[in-house]
Amino acid sequence: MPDLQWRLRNQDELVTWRSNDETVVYDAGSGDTHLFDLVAAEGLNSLLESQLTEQEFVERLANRLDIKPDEQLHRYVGRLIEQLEAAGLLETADS
Amino acid sequence: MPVRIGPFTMNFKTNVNGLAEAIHYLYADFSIINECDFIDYRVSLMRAGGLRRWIAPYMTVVAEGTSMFSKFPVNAAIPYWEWGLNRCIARFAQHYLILHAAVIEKHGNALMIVGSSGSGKSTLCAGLTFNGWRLLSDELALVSTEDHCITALARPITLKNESLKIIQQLGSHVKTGPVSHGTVKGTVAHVRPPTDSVDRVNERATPGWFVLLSYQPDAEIQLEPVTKAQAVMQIAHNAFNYGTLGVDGFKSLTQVVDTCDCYNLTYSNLDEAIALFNGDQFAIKNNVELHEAI
Amino acid sequence: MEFSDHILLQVLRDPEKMATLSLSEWDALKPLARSTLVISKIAALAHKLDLLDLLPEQIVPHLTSAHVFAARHDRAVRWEVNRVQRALRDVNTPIILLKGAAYAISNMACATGRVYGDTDILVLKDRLGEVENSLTRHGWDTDEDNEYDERYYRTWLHELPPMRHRERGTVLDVHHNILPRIDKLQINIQLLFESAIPINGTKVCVLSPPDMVLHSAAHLFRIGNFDHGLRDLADLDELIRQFNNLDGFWDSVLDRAQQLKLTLPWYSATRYVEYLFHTPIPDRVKRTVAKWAPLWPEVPIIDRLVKRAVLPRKIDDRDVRRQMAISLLGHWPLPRLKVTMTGLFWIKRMPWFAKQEKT
Repeated sequence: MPDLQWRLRNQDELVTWRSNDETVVYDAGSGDTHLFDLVAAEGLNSLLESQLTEQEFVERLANRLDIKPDEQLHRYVGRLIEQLEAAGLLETADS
Repeated sequence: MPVRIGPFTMNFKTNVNGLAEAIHYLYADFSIINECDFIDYRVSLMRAGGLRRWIAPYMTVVAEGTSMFSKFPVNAAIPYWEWGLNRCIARFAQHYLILHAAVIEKHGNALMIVGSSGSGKSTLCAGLTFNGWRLLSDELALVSTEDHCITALARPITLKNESLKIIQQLGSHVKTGPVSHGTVKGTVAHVRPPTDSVDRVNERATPGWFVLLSYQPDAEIQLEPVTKAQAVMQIAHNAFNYGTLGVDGFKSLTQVVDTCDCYNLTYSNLDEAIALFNGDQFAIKNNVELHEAI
Repeated sequence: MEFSDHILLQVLRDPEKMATLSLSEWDALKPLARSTLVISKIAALAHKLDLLDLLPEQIVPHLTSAHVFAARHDRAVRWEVNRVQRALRDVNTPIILLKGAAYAISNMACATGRVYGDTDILVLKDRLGEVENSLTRHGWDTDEDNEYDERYYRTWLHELPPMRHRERGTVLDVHHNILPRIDKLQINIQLLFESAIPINGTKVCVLSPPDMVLHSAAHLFRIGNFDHGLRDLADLDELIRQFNNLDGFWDSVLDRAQQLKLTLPWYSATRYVEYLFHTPIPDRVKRTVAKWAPLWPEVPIIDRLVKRAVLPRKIDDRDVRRQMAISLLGHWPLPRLKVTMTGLFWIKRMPWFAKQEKT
C-alpha cells in the first residue's frame, strides 16, 4: 500500500547513543534496545523529521545518503519498514 | 547466622546438615555478625518435612519470604543454595545495574567477562583469580548507577563438569567444597574464594575491560576488538536487570561501556588465556584510587 | 494485639507512620512487605510523601530496588496492552482490560507501586477462536507444557489456556467471562460489555466502576484466589476510595451486586477491606450489605481464614497454615467437586509431571 503514511510510534520515548558509525537506540515504551548501522540510522533520522509514505522515505533517505533512489534502495526501505514496524518503533498514521 | 557479604548483611538458615557444613567451609573467611538490627536478605534452604521427607522428597530456597526455587532434588542442596543467593541478589538489589558477568580486578581496574552458560566464564574467572587477580564475583557484576564502579561480593566460584578438574589442577591452594553429581547442570562444585579477595571485599573497582567470551574446544586463542555499540547489545542481553532499570539502565550501560576496551575472546586452553590477561595488553588501564563500598 | 494493628497494615493505612519506625521494625516489616507484594507500594508512598530522608539509611536501597521493579512492571503492562491491541486490530470484539492492566491504563491510584503478573483481557465468547489465531500469528503460544494442563483450562476455566509471548515471555489470560465455567453462577457478561468505559486514545475499555469493584470482590471471594490477597484487598480499598465521590456509585454497586448475584462476595469484600484498611463505607450501605452475610460457613471461620491468608507468619520456611487457609478460601465458594471427579484433575498433580526449574 504505497500511500500509507508511516511515523515513529513515539519519538519522545527514544533515547539514542552514538559510537563511531553505529547507533544504539533505547525505546522506553517497549523496553527494547536496537542497534542501527549508518544507513539505518539515517533512515531513523528521516522519520524523526516527519511522517512519510514509503516513496517519500526512499527519496529522503537517498537525499541524506547522497545516492540515487534505485531499486536496491527501494527494497532496503521496504525491509526496514517491516523490521521497524515489527519492533514497535513504527506505525501507520491511522493507528 | 548473620554474615556480611560485600555490601549486604545476610542471614543464612538451613535444616540440611551437609549444607550447613559446606557453607561454613566455603564462607570461612567471611565475617559473622554477632548483633544485628537489620538484615538485608534472609535466605533459607529447607528440606520438606512430614511425609515428603520420604515420599518424593524435595527442598526449597526462600529469600525474603519469596520462593527462589520451589522444588528441587535433595542431592543438589549446595548448588541450589548458591544459585538461590544469586537469584536473591538479582531480584532484590536492583538499586544496582546487575550484569551477568564475572568480575576480577587488578590495579583498581575491573575486567568483566561476559558469556552464557558453558562459555568458560567461570573457568577463566577462577583461573585468573588464582593467578594474580582479585575476585569480585563469578556471576554478578554490581555496577553503581551513580559512579559506575563495581561492588565486590567475593563469593565462592561455581564450577561445572570439566572445568572443575582444570581448576583443581592449578594447585593445592585451590580449595573446593563438596561435589554434587547429577544436577540439572551436571557435576557442580564450588571453589572457596581466596582470603585476600574476601579481606578486600569493600574495595570497589573502576570498569576497565569487557571480554565477550565464547568457548570452543581445541580453538586457538583469539582476542579481537569489538565495537562499543556491539558490546552494549551483547551485554544488555546478558544483564539481569538492564531492562528493569529502563532508561537509567541504558544510560548507565552505555556510559560504562564507553569507558572500557571491549573484546571478543575465543579460547580453549586456560593457560594461554591466563598468559594473555597477565600480559601487557591488560596491565594498568587507568591510574585509579580504590573506592570504598557504598 | 488486634490483628488489624499489625505494623504492615498500619503503614499501608497511614504511610506517614513510616517515618517513626525503628530499624528493627523495618527489619521485621521488609520481608513481609516483599512476600505480600506490597513493598513497592510502600516505596511509592515514601517517594510521593517525600519521606526517604527521614528513614533509616539501611532501608533506602531496598525501597529503591522495589520502586525500580514496579516502574518496570508499569512500563511492561502498558506495552503489553499496546501489543495486544495491535494483534487484535482486525478481530471484531471489544477488548476489556481486567484487574492490574485496567488500573494501569486508566492511571488509577492503586496502580502506583503495583507489580503485575499476567495481563487479563475479556473478549466476546464468539470471537475466541479468531482471537486465539490472531494472537498466535503475533507471537503468542499457549503456555502449558503438557496437554493435560491445556485441556484443563479449555474444559473448566477460562476457555483459552494462558498464552505466553515467544519473545517477551509475558503471559496473557484471555477470558470470556469473569467467572470460570465450572461456577454454576453464570454472570450475564453482556451487561458488563454494555457498561464498559472506553479509554481515550486506545482501542481498549475498562469495566465501569461498580463492575470493577465487584470483579475484584468476585476474584477474591467467589473464585477464591487469595494468592495475593493483601495486595488485592489494598487495591480494592483504593478503588473504593477513588470511586466514593462519584454520584450514585454506592447505589449502583448495590443494584449491580444483586443483578449479578454477587451479593455474598460483596459482603465479604466490604467486611475485610474495612477491617484491614478502614475503608470508608457509608452506614446505609453497611446495613444493606449486612443482610447478605452467609449462613454457612460461619463468618468467624472466614474471618480466621482471611487473617491467616493475608499475612505470612513465617518468613524462612513454608507457612503451611497460610497455604491451607489460601487453599480453603479457594475451595469454599466454588463447587470444585465436578472438577475433582475427572481424571484430568489428578493426573496433572502427580509429582512426575512437575517441571524442572531453570537455574
